This record gives sequence, structure tokens and C-alpha cells, in this order.
Amino acid sequence: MKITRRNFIKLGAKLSIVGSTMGAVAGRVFAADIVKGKNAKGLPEGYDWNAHNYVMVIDSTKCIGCGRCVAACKEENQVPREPYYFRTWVERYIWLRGKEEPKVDSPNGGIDGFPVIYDETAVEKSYFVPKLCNQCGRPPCVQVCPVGASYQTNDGVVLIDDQWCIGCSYCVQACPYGARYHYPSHGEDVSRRNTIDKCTFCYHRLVKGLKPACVEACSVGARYLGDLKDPGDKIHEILKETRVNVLKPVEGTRPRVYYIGTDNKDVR
Amino acid sequence: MRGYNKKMILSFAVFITIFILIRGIVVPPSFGDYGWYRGDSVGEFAAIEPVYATSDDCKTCHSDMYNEWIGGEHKTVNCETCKGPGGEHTKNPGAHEMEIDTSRDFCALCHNQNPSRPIEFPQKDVSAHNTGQLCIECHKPHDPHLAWKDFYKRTAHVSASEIFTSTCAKCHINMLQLDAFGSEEGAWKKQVNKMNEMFDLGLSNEQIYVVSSYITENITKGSK
Repeated sequence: MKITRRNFIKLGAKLSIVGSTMGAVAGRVFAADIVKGKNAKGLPEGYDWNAHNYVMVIDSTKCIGCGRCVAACKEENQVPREPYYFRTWVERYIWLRGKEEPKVDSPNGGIDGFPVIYDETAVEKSYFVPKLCNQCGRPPCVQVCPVGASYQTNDGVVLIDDQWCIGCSYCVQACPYGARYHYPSHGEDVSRRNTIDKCTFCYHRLVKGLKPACVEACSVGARYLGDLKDPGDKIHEILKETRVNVLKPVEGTRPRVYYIGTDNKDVR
Repeated sequence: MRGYNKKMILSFAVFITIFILIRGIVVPPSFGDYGWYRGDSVGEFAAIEPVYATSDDCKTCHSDMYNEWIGGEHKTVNCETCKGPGGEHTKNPGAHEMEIDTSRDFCALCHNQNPSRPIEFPQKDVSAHNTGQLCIECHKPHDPHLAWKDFYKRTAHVSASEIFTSTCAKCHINMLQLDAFGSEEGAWKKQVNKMNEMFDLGLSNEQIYVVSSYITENITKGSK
């Protein structure tokens, strides 16, 4: 068939534009229906992941820095016991008299408590801030994963598929909160070795109706796990009645761990 | 169609077919079920066995200890927070004993004086408070209030000095100004006399307790 080169190119361009537009529209319309709304296989009987949306509230005015949450998490999730492998950790912020910037420390994640370094008279303000994965609404770690090992469930929890993760650590770089870490080759859980690990809100406990290990371990009620889709949950009352902060809101990650009692200019 | 065009279309078709075949083999079947990830992973997470139980699980066998605990100040401290994970123990209690740490260091983890802790949280300077004794000798962990404090609440008609002499007087003597009063017995007698004076003046037991504590903590030397 005879067609000039010029016309062929023009035809090709028109077809690509039409084709890609139709493809994008179809994708948005149909994929959304296909993906959302289905219950996942393998979840316990009676658990519908579309009926939950988990968020956490951390009350910094209550935390005593005992580190029991850090220890409980390590036990529950086989996190390596030596320092610097943490799914959750506690930081201490100290403002000394006359100094504007706080001193921040986290000795071994706070797992053995915090030694008293400064005398009471020198400290103007001080408190503890437990940190963990924020299970963001727009997780950068999910976006950058090259293989699709990092994903977000329909109940809001970001998980890592240890069978699929290649350990490239792009997500570790991408997380602005430092919540992810490389599970070492000597770690207790063989299937997770040399993959990336992070707090999962103890998803294996959530689907069974249990609370995460850190929430159970906290003796002062500094950690609270709420379900936004449960109309009877205390979370609604908490979010309405207290002023909450999040960490690094400017990054656009839409974190879903809310902090009470932190100075958001310094606690990032 | 020219020969080279036919060859080009054929090679494209071959490569695309091979790609689809390889992809069909290599990509796991559940990939893409719920999003751009392997759908079976969700089920794998749900299948993980929890390591920690809950305090309600402990209640099934240890109900009297549970009832003692739930009525006391430590009711917000779950069993496993102090004793470690209990999942294995609930399945096979004999084979997996719970760890019970009764050392001073363990209580100090939460209760040592620290300026970063909320001021209303009960704290003590552990390095100066009754060193040489275990905390649990006076503070029962499952119901940690001091007998002294509870006694005066329940027996308001009894004079403060009687309460003082009848409960843990030996520990409380250590808190008094040993140097100033010269001897344990001397200090004790002085304390009791003062308390009786306050009682005669008409102060309630609660007021007497508050005044005595204030003097002990703020005025007497080496008072912790």
C-alpha cells in the first residue's frame, strides 16, 4: 500500500495519542474497580481488609522512655537484638537552658532506657518521642520499589514481600523517616535475610484482632492503634479533641502516625 | 510488502511472543491481584504466629494474680511487659517458663528519676533510695502501693502514729534524719511524738502524712 513517509508519521502520532489516552482512561476506570473492593486471599476467616484503616497516635506527653516497646517489637518480630536494627525506637529531645536547638539522642534505640546525662536544673524542657514506620498515605517506599516487593494493603499497612524483595535498598533511601533497614544475613528469620524490613504495625496480630506488640507493651498508654473505619473507635474522639502533629509533613508522604505533644519545629 | 518489512514484522512478533512466554513463567501467578505486588504475600503475613499473648490469656490460668493486678496501680502494665513474651508459655507452660526479673535495675528502667519523664509519673532517685534492698520487698509488683498509704485511707479513725509504728516502720526509719536524731530509736520516737502532736491539734491522718512527707523530703538531710 502506498503511503508517504510524512503521512505515515502523522498517522502514527495520531494513533499513539488516541491510544494512550484511551488506555489511561480505561486503566483508571477499570483497574480501580478491580483492585479495590476485593478481599485478599489468605486472611483469617471473617476479616475483610477493606473494612479497616489503621492509624497510630503517639502521646509524647505520656512516654517515659522505658524502652519496653522497643524490646517487645524485637521479640515479636525477630529483629536482630544488636544495636541499630530497629522497627521502632525511642528518641529523647532535651532543650538545655540558654540553648535554642534541642539535643537528640537514642542510646541503642532506647531499649535499655535513657541514662540521666543532664542535671534537672540544666534541663529546660525534655521529652521522649517514639518513632516507627508512619504507614504513609502516599508511601515513597512503595513508589520507588523496582520489583514491586513494597506495597500497601487495603487496610493502610505498608508491607514488604520478603520472597520478592531483592534487597536493593532504594526504599531505605527513599523513606524520609528512616523507618526501613536491611535485615542482616545473620538474622533469626531465614526468609527475611538480606531483604528489607520495617515496622508492619504487627500486621500478623492486627488481622487476628490483637494489638501490635509495642502498643501492648506500653504501660502508660503512649501508643494507641486506631481504626478509622470503625465508627466506635476512640480514634475519632482523639483526633477531634487533641491537636496532633505529624513528622515531616512537607515531604508530602501523608504520614498516618499522629503525635500529641511534640514541637513540630524541632521534632521531625 | 518488501522482504525486509516482512522480516521486521516477523522478528517483532517472535520477540514479543518470547517475552510473553517468559513473563508468564517468571512472574508469580498472584502478582497483580490487588495491585503491583505478589498477592500471596498478604496471606503469608497473616499466617505468622504471634510471639506475645495478651494479659487476658494469662488470666485463664493465673486468675488470682490477675485480679490482684487489675485492681492496683500497675493495671496499665501488661503481664508480658515485665515478664517477656508469653505465647510459647500459653501453649506449653511447663516447657517454657516466664522470665521474672526482680532486680532493682529492672524497676529503675521505668521508675528512675529522669528530667525527661512527665513530672506526674512516679519516680525516685534509685541510687539513693533504700539501696541494698530489692524494690519488691516493700512494693509488691502486682499491687505496688505502699501498705502505709493504703492503711491510712482505710483506717481513718486510727491515729497516724499507730499506723506508722505498725507498718514497715523499719524502712521508714531509714528515711528519717538519722544523723540529726542520733539513733534509729531516737529518730523514731521523735517522729511519733510529732505525729501525735499534729493529731492532737486536730489534723487528719492525710494532712499528717502530707506534712511528714514534706519535712522528710525537703528539710531533713539525707532524707532519701
